[in-house]
Amino acid sequence: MSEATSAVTGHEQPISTTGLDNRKLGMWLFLATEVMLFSALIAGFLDMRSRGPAGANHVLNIPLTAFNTWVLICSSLTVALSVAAIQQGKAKRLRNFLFLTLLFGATFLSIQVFEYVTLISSGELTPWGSLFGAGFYMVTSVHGLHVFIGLIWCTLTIIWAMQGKFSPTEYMRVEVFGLYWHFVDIVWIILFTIIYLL
Amino acid sequence: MNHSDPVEAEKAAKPHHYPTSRTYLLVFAGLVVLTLAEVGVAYIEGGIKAPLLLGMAAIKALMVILFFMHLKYDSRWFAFIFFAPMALVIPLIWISLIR
Repeated sequence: MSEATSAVTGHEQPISTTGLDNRKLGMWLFLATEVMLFSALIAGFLDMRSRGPAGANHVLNIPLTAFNTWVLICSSLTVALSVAAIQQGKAKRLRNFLFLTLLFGATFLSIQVFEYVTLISSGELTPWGSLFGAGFYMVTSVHGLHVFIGLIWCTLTIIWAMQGKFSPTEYMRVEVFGLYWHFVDIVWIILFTIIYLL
Repeated sequence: MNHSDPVEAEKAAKPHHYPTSRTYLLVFAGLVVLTLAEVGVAYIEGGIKAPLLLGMAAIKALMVILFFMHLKYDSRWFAFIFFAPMALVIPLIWISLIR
């Protein structure tokens, strides 16, 4: 273990004057900016919805989206379990949980695409048909883009795991990926309530 | 040290400030129950609906932040960094909601 190993976390990490792992600190700073990005988008969506007729979200499929929410929550669980696995030195279990995360994430995105195709092809809700529609596709597509980026990141993490780059003392890249993925889950938890249920 | 109990062995193997797999599973169960409750509440009418739904969503988000993202166990600096924008975000969302 290098001299730079943190006494706080036990991870090998770059030397930091804060005593915190720079990679984790950087990710939390990035997530703070993401909070502001999505807050602005959500506020914009709420404003657009308030200018249209009430009940515009009745065309949305709540049971299907509730299932999709469950899928994303499952993916958060598998990411958390993958971190727990590598902390115990179980590399195979780490890979398996990351594969499951990839599977759940891809399922979520596929269902979202299916929802878009269904709504647009039926003409029930289009990005150009109403302010609610424009706001709906704006917010959910930016979230979907984050899921897509997460899937690429998850694939890279799986490749690194298969190359044996993680150990019980060096798993920060798994944890940092996990922070991003959990944040995407949190955003969806909020969007599900505000867009579909309210 | 011999740990015959898998949970105890897991506790011993990882930093003391991180949750066990059992905790993760309990949080997951809580998230699923709350999601089902949200869907049920969505179909009721009345003034209590919005506060209930927003409250449950906030609890779910906090569960993910505190346990899955380890903020309950990690440096307070991370919590400060993440929650500091809320001073701007909460009034912004609140104003948008009550319009």
